[in-house]
Amino acid sequence: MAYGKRRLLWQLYPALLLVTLAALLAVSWLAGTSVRNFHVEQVESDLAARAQLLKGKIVDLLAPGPDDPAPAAALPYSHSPAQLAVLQAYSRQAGTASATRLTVVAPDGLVLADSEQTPAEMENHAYRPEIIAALAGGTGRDVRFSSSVYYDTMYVAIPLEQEGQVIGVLRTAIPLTAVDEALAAIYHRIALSSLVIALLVAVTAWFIARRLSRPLEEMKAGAERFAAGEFAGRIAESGAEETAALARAMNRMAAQLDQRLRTIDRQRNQLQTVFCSMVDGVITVDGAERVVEINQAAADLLAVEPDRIKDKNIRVAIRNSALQDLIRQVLERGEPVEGELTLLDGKGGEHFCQAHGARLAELNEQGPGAVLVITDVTRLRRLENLRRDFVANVSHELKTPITSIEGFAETLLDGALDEPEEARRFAGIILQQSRRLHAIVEDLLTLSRIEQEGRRQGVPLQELPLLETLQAAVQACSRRAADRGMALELRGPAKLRAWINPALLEQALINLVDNAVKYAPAGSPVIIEAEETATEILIRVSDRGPGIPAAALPRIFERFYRVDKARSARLGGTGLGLAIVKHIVQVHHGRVRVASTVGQGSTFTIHLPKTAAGPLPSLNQNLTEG
Amino acid sequence: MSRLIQPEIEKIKNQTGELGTLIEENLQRAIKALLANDPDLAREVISFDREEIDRREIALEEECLRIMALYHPVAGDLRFLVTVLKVNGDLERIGDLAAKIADKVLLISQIDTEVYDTAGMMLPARFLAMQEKTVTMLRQTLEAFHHEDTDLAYKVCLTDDEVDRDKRAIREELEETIAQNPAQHIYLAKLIGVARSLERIADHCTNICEDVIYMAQGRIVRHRLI
Repeated sequence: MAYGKRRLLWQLYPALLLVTLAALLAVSWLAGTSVRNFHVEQVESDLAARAQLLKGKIVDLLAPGPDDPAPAAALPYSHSPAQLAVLQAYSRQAGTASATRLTVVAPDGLVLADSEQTPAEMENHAYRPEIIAALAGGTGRDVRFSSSVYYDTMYVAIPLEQEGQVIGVLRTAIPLTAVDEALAAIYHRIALSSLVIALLVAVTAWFIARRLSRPLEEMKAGAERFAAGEFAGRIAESGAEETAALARAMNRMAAQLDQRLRTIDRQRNQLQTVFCSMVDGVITVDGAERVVEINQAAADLLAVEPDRIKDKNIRVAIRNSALQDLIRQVLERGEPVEGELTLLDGKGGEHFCQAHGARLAELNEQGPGAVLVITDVTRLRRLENLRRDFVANVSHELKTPITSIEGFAETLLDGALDEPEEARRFAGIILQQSRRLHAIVEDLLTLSRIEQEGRRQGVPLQELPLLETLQAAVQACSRRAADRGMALELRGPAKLRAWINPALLEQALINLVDNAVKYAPAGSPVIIEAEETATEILIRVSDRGPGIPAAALPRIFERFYRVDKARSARLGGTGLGLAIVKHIVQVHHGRVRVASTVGQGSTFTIHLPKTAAGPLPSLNQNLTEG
Repeated sequence: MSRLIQPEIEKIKNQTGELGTLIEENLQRAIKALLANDPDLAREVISFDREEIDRREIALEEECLRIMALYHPVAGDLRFLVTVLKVNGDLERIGDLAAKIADKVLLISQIDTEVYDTAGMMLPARFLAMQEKTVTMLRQTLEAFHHEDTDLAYKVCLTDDEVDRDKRAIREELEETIAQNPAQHIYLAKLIGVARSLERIADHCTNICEDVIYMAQGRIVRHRLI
């Protein structure tokens, strides 16, 4: 119950008390009135009876004796003092005996005798209503305040008749004190019982209030539980029909709320999971450009900590002006926008991203916000570049020897044939260029063959001694190495076995060693090492050549990529050697790495897994893996 | 006071954030131009610094002064505004230094490459490490400023020594190379200039971090060993 409001008990009690007391008062008033009326009637008839009893004696005393000379008819009849004294004495005696005031009044209103006062001192009673009624022949009665006894008094008067002539009036009177005293006692008792009843009513009201409010209190506790989110308990559906219905309704409401909240919770969890596990970055901001949500992908892309930038302004939180501009555009225009972003990850790496922004209706009190989805298209972009470069490179690589062949063949036809010396030289060049063309096509075919075999059923691998294959590769390169005065050093445990395709691996090694022989300065050694680690078998080819600049390192396994175009062409490279190495290593489920320091040499390392198992990497993606 | 200062402070914060972002990006573009030897990008960097960054610096300063005049800020707000005024100057200098690096790239691109061996044009590996450190420092400085992260600010102040060491080592290395192969001195002298610019960017970052510490703690840590 809210503070400042009265408890139910205090609302019930006054009303109950009022009604009870009103009923009690009405009853006692009614009872009092009827008792009083009854009593007054009783007194009246009592007085009349007493008057009738005394009447004979008084008439006797009042009537003129036979010795009285005055004619009876003479009026006003005057009584002799002796007669009056007798009458007075009798009145006193009778009045005392009957506890009634007796007054005898002459027809002219003169008081002849009175049981309590001296008649001579009393005023004329002719105009008293009871006397008038009695003189008229009936029984007169009246209740009024008596100045002599200071109390409400009932007077009953009857005529005194003698031979059909009214000779006086006898009045009996009694004060109504007794009645009133009796009534007062009754009222006193009624007041006492009212107090008791008030107490009873209080107790009853308290019980009723308790009965009414207990289910309400229970419901209050239940509702508070519901408000706090505890839907497990139910409210007891007890008490009166109304409270029980209310409890039922509340229980139903709680059940529905529970269900809805669960649904909302589940949906939120699902959305949160989707949001968090999305590969694309998602950022939502509110109308004041504050970050509301950011998923892990976006945080990674933007190199920020999600917890740290929440609720911060986007301009402070995410330091990328293009992204800030996009969000501003969405917020200002309210229509979807699209843009490209270049994100720098602080390590010199660049991510090309596409961003789509849209308005979020009524995100919070700041008005509509914006949502930005960032897709990292770096790989796609690189793939695109690679394909474009590949086509351009193939055409270029094929065109150079063809142009050369074409040119010299034309020169021959134009007359150089006649000069055997020249013709011989030209034919030599044509042959050399044809061989180059052949080598390129051969390499391209090798590449596509490896790729296709790898894609279709995998290249068959056997567990063979590794050193034999290495030896074969070294053998193949030894002549060229010897020409340049270079020593090929082969090191490695003889027992080492690996899952390999000997022909392919030999080809890869030949390519690597051949590169080393070609590029390293004459006379420097080339070291081929095999080594076994806990999980892998490593084959290392190190040279003391010029090294590869860091910027070129990620690209050297691309087809036709050359660090130094002029030098490579001069040395007869096709630009495909390392691409072939990479593909061969991939069909062996391995990987190839290169480490190089400019001016000090390069080391190529082939990592082969120890077991033949493992899924083949999808060769479709090879072009994108640098 | 009928109007509230908080929204204005918030605005200043955002404006500073934006300026920092632009300067950081401009510096990264300058470095990219250096690594890729891209004079067009370098020109872009220089003009962006002249047109956009300088303008924003002035706007931010005026905004700070306006708020100070109108609101008479006290305590934290005053410290914040004073710090922004100082940081603003440092940021602008960093922007200028980025433009200076771009300027060096322009000069390098004008050197006749025929005269010099291309292999000699390679940037020393230490150089890459140094520019990476400097950019990271700038990023962390801005982050420390925005999040009032004094721990990070102290950390940045300590990194400054590393950058100083790198710069010294690079200078010595390049001077040695020049001694061996004087023909390359024109090119290498430019590189020394770039290294100096980077080192000074790091110095400005340290200044900003000291101001950040002042802003957060009201303690002046300048000219003191941390």
